[in-house]
Amino acid sequence: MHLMKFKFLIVTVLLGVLSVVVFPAYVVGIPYSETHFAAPTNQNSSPDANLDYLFAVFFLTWLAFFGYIFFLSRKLKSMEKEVVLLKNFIKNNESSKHLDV
Amino acid sequence: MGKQIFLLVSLVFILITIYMIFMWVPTELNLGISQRIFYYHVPLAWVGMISIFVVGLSSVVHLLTKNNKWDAIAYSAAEIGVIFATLILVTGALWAKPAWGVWWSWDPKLTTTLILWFIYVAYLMVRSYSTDRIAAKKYASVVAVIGAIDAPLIYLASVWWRNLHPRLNIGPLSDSDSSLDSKMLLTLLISTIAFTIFYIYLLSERIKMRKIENDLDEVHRYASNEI
Repeated sequence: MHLMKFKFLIVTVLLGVLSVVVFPAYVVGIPYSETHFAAPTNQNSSPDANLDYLFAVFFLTWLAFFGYIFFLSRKLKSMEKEVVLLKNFIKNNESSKHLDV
Repeated sequence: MGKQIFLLVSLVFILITIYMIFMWVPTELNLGISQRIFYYHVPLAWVGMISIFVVGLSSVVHLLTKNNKWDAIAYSAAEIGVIFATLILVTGALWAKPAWGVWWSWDPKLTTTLILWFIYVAYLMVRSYSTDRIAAKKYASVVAVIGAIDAPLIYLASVWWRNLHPRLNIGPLSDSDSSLDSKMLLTLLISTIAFTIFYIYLLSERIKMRKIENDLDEVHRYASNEI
């Protein structure tokens, strides 16, 4: 759990940075393939056209994963607090029973 | 330790995927750079659809066996599934704009995917807002089974109804005219493996947390009865 909480957050951010900031810089120089999908209706012929859409996809995907892992780590923290509260509650309960006896 | 191996393997595959998408795979002739969205969009869709099967199957098994382990699996898969379903819609819209000129179209494939997203949200809402926990599990299971029926519809939508969305590029029902370049196919395959392992890792961690949440609920209920 602790491993996930810290290491995974850092790794997710690093992967996000790699896929969003570092690698897209190389994409413009790659040659074209011979195969093709369905004919586009609104295509800009410039090689670096639509790079911002690609950027947005990778950014939002990693943001979503980061957000979810952050949500899980917050949840984990609140559960740890709950466990401490419950432990204290049980301890107090037991000590009050001993006093009664 | 087993889960950490899943994490490590998924990270390695994700790194390879990033390298392949941005530095290795050729650019598609007509759609240009925006076609690279495909290598995230399709694996996300694959995992989003697998997840609803996991939710449906686990819900049914839970109803039959009354074992809370299956309920934890169903709930965790639904929570992660809603994220993947959201990403399918978002990445799809971001690809649709440069390719079709619109963010959204009421194409059968897009519409059935939107229905899948609503099903995931409905499942989580039924579980969250119902005061009767046992009834909520039953109703949510029905929602999950409907979702599991919707998943094959999404897959077959572009075969049954021709519209804006391209036909299937791979698989037994793929269109023979639109076969993928071998490099594109390999990149898609590696990306799909990466996201599937990543999903398995996330799911296993979430199931573990869900079990702790259930245990805490039990202890709370016990404690409140003691008072």
